[in-house]
Amino acid sequence: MAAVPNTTKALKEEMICRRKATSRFFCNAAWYKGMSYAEHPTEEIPIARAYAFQNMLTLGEKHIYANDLIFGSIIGQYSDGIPDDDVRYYENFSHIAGERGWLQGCDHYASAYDRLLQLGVGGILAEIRDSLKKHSGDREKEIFLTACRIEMEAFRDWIIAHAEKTEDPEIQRICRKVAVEPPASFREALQLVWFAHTIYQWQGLYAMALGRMDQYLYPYYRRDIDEGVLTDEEVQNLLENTFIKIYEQRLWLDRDDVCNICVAGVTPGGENAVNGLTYAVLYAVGKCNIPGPNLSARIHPDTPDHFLCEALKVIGTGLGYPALMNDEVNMKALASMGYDLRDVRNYCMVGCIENFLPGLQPPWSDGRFDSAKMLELTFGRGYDFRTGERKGIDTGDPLTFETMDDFMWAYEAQIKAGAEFYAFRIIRENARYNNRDYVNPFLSCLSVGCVEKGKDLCNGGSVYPAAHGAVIMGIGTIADSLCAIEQCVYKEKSISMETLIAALKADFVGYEKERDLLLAAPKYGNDCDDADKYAVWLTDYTADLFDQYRLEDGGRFYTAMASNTSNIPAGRECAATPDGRKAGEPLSDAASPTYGRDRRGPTYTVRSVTKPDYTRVACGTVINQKYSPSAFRGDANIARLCALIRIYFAGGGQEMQINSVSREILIDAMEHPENHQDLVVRVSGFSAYYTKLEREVQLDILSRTEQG
Amino acid sequence: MELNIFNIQHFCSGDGPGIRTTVFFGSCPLRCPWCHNPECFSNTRTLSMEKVMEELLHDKEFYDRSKGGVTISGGEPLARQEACIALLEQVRAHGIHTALDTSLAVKDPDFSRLLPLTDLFLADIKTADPEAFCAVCGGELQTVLDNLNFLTEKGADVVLRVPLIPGFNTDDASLEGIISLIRQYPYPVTLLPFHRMGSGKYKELGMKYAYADTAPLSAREVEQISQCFRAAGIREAAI
Repeated sequence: MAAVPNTTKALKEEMICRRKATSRFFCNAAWYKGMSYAEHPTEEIPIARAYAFQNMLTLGEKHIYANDLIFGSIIGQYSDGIPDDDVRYYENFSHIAGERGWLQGCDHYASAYDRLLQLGVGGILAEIRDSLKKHSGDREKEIFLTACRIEMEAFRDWIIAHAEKTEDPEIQRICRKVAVEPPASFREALQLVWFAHTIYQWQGLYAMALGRMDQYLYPYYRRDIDEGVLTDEEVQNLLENTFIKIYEQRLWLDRDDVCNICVAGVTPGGENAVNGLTYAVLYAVGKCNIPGPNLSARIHPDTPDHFLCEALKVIGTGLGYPALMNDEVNMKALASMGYDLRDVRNYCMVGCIENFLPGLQPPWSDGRFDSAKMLELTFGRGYDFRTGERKGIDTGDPLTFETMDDFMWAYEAQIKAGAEFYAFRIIRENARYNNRDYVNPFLSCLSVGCVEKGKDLCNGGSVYPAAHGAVIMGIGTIADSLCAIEQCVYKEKSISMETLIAALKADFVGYEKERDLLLAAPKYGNDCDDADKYAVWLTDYTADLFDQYRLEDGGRFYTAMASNTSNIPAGRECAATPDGRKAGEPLSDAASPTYGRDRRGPTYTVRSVTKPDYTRVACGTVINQKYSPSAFRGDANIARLCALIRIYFAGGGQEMQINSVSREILIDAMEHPENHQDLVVRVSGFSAYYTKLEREVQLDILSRTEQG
Repeated sequence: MELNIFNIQHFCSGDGPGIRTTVFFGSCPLRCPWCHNPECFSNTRTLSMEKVMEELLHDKEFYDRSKGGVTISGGEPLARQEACIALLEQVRAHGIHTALDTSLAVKDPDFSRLLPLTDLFLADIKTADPEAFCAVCGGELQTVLDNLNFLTEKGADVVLRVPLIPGFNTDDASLEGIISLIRQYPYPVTLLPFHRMGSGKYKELGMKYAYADTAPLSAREVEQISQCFRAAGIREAAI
């Protein structure tokens, strides 16, 4: 057996060269599919869609890089040049046929890859045949299953077509084998998974997770290692070669595929799931050092410290991944949604952090719930301060609120009205498409139960109904604002409600003294209950609210506090807030305290951010923490961080994303010190806020910080 | 009891094992011109023991989990020996690991009380040259050595810390002197490369900083120096 070399660097360079060789290109999916639609104008819609899928796979180039160890490239999606009239003509057919969008359940999905590996393509085709027999006479199911057959056969032929592009007999053997049979080796299994993921990319699907690779690939890994077929180094080389391909999206689409990979945690039986492959995946993601493979590590009390420390070392390289997930909290949150315990234990993430049961529920969706904006609407009696538009309900004249309770009553009513509008929109959007016709047979075949039931994933085929995440915006901004209102308006009475509203409307211009008073009130993230209690309240209140709504298929609304970067546009739409934030500035990020305001150090931040009950936030939360690169240097420092994480998780924290402070952040801190007041530089016997250092000294530190 | 301190810093790095909180005491008998904590001379505040303990106990679970604790630093904590001992007693009473960061440049400390209360001494060796120590820092090297010998005799746990100060102790002769001094002791060492992060503090205090224009050592220079220590068989402290 030939040794598996490391070709990561060469492959990355080759990918960059290939991209540079093409100056103008366009996505050919709508064209290729349109030609097929034009050929089958009166075919049953699901079958016409399957033919379109087949035509796209037949015509698209099966590109193989010279340095590929694992095949499957997005290049086949693109054609050189600009679309001509012929292309435009056929594209119209595809536009009319339409596609599900984000809120209608198109992507953000984790497949049942264990099922694909166990059955193989041939096995799934056999299952389709059996199901067709079983459902014979049920026209709708026959149509759907026929569409499944067409798409799986197209997938099979597309894989075989890759074999024809190479002269390497071993590669030809692997392709021909996994096109039909279940894979037997690690390399075959990884190849089949990556082929499926490539198809999702060709379909234009985004944030399709690779899920628990260290679990579903483990049997193949174990066998190959035990039998001496592969070494751990070779396994890592194969994984790197696969993950570096995720970089293709950056090159061709100028965006990163948010391809979540989840490792560690527990097995469906509840045992510690860390194994040799867990480490191989971790190191491979670390070595690739590209954005895109969103690595998540499920940290359970049974997860060995050694693994957590290795994960911290990868984070410390500047990559920022893996995101660390509290397994106990996530599983408790999911269990409360009524899923079977074995399924709960097998959860992974899609997109950034969204908890998901692979292969068992329709694709994920979430949306921005502008809870901070509703504070403005409370002051404005339903009206937007800046545009004058009516965006909420009239919750009464704030000048008549005599106590903080009165104010909270109005704000709660405003949030409740906002949630009703939000749920109305999501439920309608989610059900916008006719589930019989807007099918995704390929995706359904890689899910559990759809083939057997003869139903599409979004048409009752999945084991569980859909779930939607309402992303609660600005917990830090809200907690700080409510605390400032309580302190300044109702307790100390240093600012009247009338003046406060005037100050907010004026964006504090002419109200600098009032702003200073508001800024001086306690802030979330410093282990001070005066502010923290409002974060606890917001978490519980929104969880209760959204628990009342159901999607069309009976699916639940989860809440989330994981803004990604949407706290920036959400903040742009918000007037000044009583925490002293100016109009248009970003809201606090995800579930984190407002940047720069948790100034007492990590131990205080951890105490604050473990106060909300995250077992009620089933979608997930993100706490972003920044540490200087020196905090990751040496075993003693890694052990410190490890202990910090363990305490954070034991206290009920849900997630932590740690960033080793990059050059970019340090430069930004020099230009915008107000956003980075929490950035601490720690050395023996000394520590200082980075923003307070003199410029030359900042440059000293900058020059010692690696490029991120 | 009131404590004269200028800072309490949580989640410190390099001030002892595990997650630590460092209490910085005001005042110092030395006048090292590179000092990064000049505020110890003037910008201190008075906090009650109760307040200080409340802050220190906030992180108790963090100390326990990480085998960390509390470090008393400064300034020079032994310059305020009574307050220092009182604080060590309080911290110890809660079963918390204690470290004392000291220059040892204080004559006849009350070791009979300090030793049972201190788990780890972080002791500075700034130079092996008595004249330089006297002329530049204003201290007596013999005092430092007498104290260190006493600690050694009593079997105390010690980590030696060597600040690497360009123009003061990073030339070959100075380093050789430091190394041959340290080799006489069984202790691991931490090298503390000069940084000028304190320059802003000097400006704020209206003081002149003699080291404002001194560039920090490069990573390579630091590595070369630590190579010399290793070559002499001196261990690096794992803190």
